[in-house]
Amino acid sequence: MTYKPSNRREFLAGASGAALAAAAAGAAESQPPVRVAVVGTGARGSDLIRNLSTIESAEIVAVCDDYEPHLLHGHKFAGAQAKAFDNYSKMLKEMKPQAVVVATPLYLHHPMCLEAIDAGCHVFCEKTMCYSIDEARELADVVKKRGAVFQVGLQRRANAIYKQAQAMVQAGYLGRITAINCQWHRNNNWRRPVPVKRGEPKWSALEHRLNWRLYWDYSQGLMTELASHQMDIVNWLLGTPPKCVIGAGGIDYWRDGREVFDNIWCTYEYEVAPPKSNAVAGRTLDEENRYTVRVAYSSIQSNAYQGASELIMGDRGTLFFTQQKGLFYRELGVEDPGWSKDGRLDRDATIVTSGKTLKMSNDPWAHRGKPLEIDITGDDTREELLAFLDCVQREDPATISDAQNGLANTATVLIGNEATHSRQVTPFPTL
Amino acid sequence: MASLFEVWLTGEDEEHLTAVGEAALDEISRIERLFSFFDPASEVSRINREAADRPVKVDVEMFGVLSDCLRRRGETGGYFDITIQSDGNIEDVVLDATARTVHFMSANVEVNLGGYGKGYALDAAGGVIREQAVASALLHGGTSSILAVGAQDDGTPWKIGLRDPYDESQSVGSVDLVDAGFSTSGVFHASQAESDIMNPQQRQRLTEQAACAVIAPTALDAEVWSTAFLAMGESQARGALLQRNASPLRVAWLSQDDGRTRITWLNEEIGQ
Ligand SMILES: NC(=O)c1ccc[n+]([C@@H]2O[C@H](COP(=O)([O-])OP(=O)(O)OC[C@H]3O[C@@H](n4cnc5c(N)ncnc54)[C@H](O)[C@@H]3O)[C@@H](O)[C@H]2O)c1
Repeated sequence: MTYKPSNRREFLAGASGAALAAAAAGAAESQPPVRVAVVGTGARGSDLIRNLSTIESAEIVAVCDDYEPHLLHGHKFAGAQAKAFDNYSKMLKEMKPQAVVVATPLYLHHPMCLEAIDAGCHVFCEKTMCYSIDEARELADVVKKRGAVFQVGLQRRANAIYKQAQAMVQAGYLGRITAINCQWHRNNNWRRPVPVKRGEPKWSALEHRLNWRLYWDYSQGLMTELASHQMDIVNWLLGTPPKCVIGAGGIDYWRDGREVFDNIWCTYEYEVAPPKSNAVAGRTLDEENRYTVRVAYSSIQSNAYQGASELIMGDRGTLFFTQQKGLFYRELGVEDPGWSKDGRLDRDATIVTSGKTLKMSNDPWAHRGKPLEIDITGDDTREELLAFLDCVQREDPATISDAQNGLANTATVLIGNEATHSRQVTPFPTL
Repeated sequence: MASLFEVWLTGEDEEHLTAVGEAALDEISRIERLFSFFDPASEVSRINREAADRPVKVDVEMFGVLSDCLRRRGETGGYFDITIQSDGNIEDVVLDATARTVHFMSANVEVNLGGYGKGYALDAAGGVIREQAVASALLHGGTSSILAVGAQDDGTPWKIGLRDPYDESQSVGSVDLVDAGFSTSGVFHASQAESDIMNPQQRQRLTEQAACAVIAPTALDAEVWSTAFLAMGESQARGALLQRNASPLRVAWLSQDDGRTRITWLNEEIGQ
């Protein structure tokens, strides 16, 4: 059965609720699975393949990698029905997949996405969308012109914790966001093992293939590999990309021949309009009183104490995210005499007050109270793929992280690098 | 699982060893994320959430694991059972190899890879280590499951102390490991009120303290069999060991006799 949206809409108009639900389910089921091909079957590609292989709306028709050990590994997860290729162009020509998943090193995202779109495919591209802002601009443009369904692998957009948090920010739970702190700190050399010894003839080629992250020719370092996820959340919650950034960084610990910074510190400035009121319906913004939110971002590789987390600070509440949990802490407001609640009494005297009383305290924890916990509900990588496949089946270009978002994200993280290299205040470019 | 995993690697090239160690730990985390019973984002949680409603499509690896669990249940005479912690029955877990799905025929059944995952993860991590040409390594998960890759770099075996199940501050002997898996199961830990080891035949928790340690070709074999033997009890374990002719196992039974902890190597007793 071929599915024509216009017919379906007419049909639904006259249908009862139950019939409507049944019709929707029927339409989804009668759709054949999307014929997907995956290029880049390294660590991430293999995980995407594994997830795709559990999804009914996907059929993995081919996998491609030009490094044999990885190709074999990815193919094992894809299953026997998938054809294995070591050449991307050949795979596109021979298989004519409906959708291509690009999970190769950063510098290949732009050419591979363009080639896929040129072959008439829809594309899921791993973050970060492109190696440079110019490339990202061009790709976003082509996606728009060709009407391709395009999604960038920023999976926090599909994560229940962040979705809930976004709704809480929209509903004014945090009040006015005034500052954000995020970091991705680890304590390791960020290296993949290379199967031959340093100094052997094959070492250099394999080092660059496997540890591409460490070299400027293929990678943009910590900003594209790690910060992109977190800065995407910042852009999402603040509803806008930054205005400008200052940055500092260097190679100060892992002097092992790598080129990219092993520590980077960026301070971004965002200009946002405060909510006019905490009105329920239709959040209105006070455009006249725009103010600046500063966001401190750091990534280091010699201490893991702080791990990866984001702290969103508002004048009425705080959101703290780790990958497994979201915590919301309320700030104690003037109208909220917290000490008289939950049986808490001051130690030396029982204070009895009548009516509303303002209590202020120098207790460093007074503003925390008990957090509201937001739990994860499913695997966000699987969720983001489900969302993408659904868009492909409906030919709906409005994916959860489309090429425009990918472009904004690319520019956001790359101006951090630019500022760090130039030591100048670097403005966000016109996109 | 949610256990502490640690890896020791020996060799000359620190940079390489560090990268290999990270890759091995990454492989363990990957498996933990898929197998966790408590993390709602794991594959096991997805299966437990959905498989009673409809067949759930799983990946090649998970299908292999579930099939292996059903096979091992047969092999252990029912004493290794991934549904034992639920109210359901393992017969209600139906696998379809063509569709690569798992379907629960009852809403009461749940699968839990708690007695499987540590060994599986250690073997997988051991695979990563061997692939990267590291010849000498020791890995453990929660100290109860261990994998030795090769011997120590001076050629002597890795030496593992056996903890006295009746007095956890004491060690009651040691075992030597070279290219082998090791696992020990006890009926109780010091602070436990009730055992988490069940006898699947009686669907009851064990009540009398004892422990069973197994040396096997893989950490997975060791983990599965140490739990299964313990659930069987000493005499049945001896019988099962006699009947087995698959991969060689060495089995130590730890029990108490006149207030003294006794180790019995069951293989020696049955003349293996
Ligand atoms: N969303 C996430 O959470 C997440 C996590 C990790 C990585 N990633 C992203 O995924 C991408 C890949 O990262 P990775 O860690 O898997 O790297 P990787 O090095 O493990 O895998 C990249 C693969 O691409 C292959 N490749 C390189 N050139 C190729 C070519 N011309 N044709 C075919 N295959 C080619 C390599 O052989 C390798 O197998 C990166 O963009 C990275 O940022 C995203």
